[in-house]
Amino acid sequence: MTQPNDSMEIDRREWLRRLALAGASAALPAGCSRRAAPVAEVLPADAPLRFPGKVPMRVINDRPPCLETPWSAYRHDLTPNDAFYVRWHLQIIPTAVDTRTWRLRVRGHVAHPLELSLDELRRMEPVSVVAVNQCSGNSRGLFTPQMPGAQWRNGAMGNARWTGVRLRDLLQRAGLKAGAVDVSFDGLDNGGLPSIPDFIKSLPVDEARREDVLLAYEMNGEPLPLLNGFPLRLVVPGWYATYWVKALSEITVLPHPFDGFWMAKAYRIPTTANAVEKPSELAQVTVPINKMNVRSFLTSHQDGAQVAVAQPCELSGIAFDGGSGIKQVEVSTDGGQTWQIASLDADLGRYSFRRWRFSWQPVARGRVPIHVRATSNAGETQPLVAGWNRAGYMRNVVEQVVVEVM
Amino acid sequence: MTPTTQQALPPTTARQRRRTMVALLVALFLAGAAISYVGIQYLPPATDTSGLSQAVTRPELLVQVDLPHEEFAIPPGPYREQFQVHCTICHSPRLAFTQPLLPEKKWQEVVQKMVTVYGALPTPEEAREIVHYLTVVHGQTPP
Ligand code: HEC
Repeated sequence: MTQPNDSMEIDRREWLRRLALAGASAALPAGCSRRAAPVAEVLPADAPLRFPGKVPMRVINDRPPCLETPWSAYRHDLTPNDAFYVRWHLQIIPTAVDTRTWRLRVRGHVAHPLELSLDELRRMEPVSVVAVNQCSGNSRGLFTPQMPGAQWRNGAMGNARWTGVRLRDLLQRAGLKAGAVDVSFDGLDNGGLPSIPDFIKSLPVDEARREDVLLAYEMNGEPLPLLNGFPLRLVVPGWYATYWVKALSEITVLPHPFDGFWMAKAYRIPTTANAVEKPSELAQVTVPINKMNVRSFLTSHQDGAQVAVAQPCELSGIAFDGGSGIKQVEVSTDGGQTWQIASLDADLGRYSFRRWRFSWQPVARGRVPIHVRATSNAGETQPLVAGWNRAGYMRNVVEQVVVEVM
Repeated sequence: MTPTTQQALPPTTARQRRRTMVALLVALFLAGAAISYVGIQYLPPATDTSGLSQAVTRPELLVQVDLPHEEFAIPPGPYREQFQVHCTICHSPRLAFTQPLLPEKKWQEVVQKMVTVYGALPTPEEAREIVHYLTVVHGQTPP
């Protein structure tokens, strides 16, 4: 984009930039001018296609809605409901729910089928968990070679405090019969045509009976937004969001493996480490996607952010995994040659984003790549080179953000 | 372009007709609004919630959103109509255009999947035309 003949213009731009930087550093306590660079994903408030109850979001699809969280939202430990990403598969989604007629049914291989209203669920003892909800295909748009599917950048994830009841308690009330194998979950959405397989997911019965698997009616202390699954959503901490069925209406206990399309054909991964395969050598054996791998992100600065030389600058961000918790986060400011340990903020729970911080003082001007790498309590760490699989799931490569030290 | 019967009528009659239509529509809308208002007022009261803990907020009884509608501008190109007929039924055409620029082979796979997995109904000929359209307007030429 630079035009060599345009030196006057460049000088003027450079001068303006210096001026802006001087202004910014005067306004900020330290020399770390994180506000100097525009937040790339903040869309104008009057952008077309604003969705109800949501800030302006990147629209991957409008029918059904698939909306990506603006990056600036991850500066909060709990992702605000109005910025929380949205991902529906089928076009008939519940746009109106009357809680006087809505019921949750528990049926199938149980002794006492249940039919519960929202009020009945809310009268049970509430349980809360802070947990990351991340789409299996988060960051799909960043793979090479690219593949079809929702082209998310890194914004198909969010961290929230989910409140509801234990699935296990309901299953116990319904009384699982001997020989229960899978539990399937269906919501109010559907494809609108009989040829489109309904979006139904399943969990093995032992997973469904985990004590932290919830049926949540609240997200961050508020009723779930309709676009995020009002009135009730399955919460499977540590597992990808494909299982967190929204607008849940029917739970079925099965004496045999569930073989619906969205389990048997879609959302499957190779059995290799970190689900990696080669485009030229696709894995023969696949299994349903399940637990999340470990990831970390820099959230205080975005690509192109300007930082003052020889001044203290705090870098910060988030890390999470599939539920063992974060053991360590390391930061490299020299292209991955050396790594230094970041400090970790208070632990909000092993399924939550863990905020990390690192005090940095850049020594020389120029473009500086910043890498962040997390290690989980289970000993899992992030690869330096991205793995690949055909569906674009489970990306967790060490991310790079390039800042400009001035 | 054949003129519609309305356009063929003398202008005054056409205007009168349009006015009647608009009046009718407005009346229908008002009647609908009145009925739903009355309906909402007379729905049974919510059940008792005294057992709730304080921390739990009370949701509205009826939660409703209006999704925004925006006609996606399908780009011009050869066989655009076939795409419009077959690829806007189950989801927004936007989904195709937020994909990466895919090579022809990948578009073939996508269209094939829509047919065999979800039940899209282009004839084999139309499917080929749609693949051609997508490769031209949102594709990659092979290296
Ligand atoms: C009968 C319904 C139906 C029709 C018709 C249809 N699609 Fe789809 N399409 C779907 C469903 C269902 C999905 C999956 C949505 C999801 O997973 O979020 C999908 C997904 C897609 C995707 C995303 C990639 C993927 O594989 O999930 C693309 C691109 C796409 N369709 C393009 C097309 C094109 C081009 C046509 C016209 C030939 C078409 N669709 C017609 C139902 C349909």
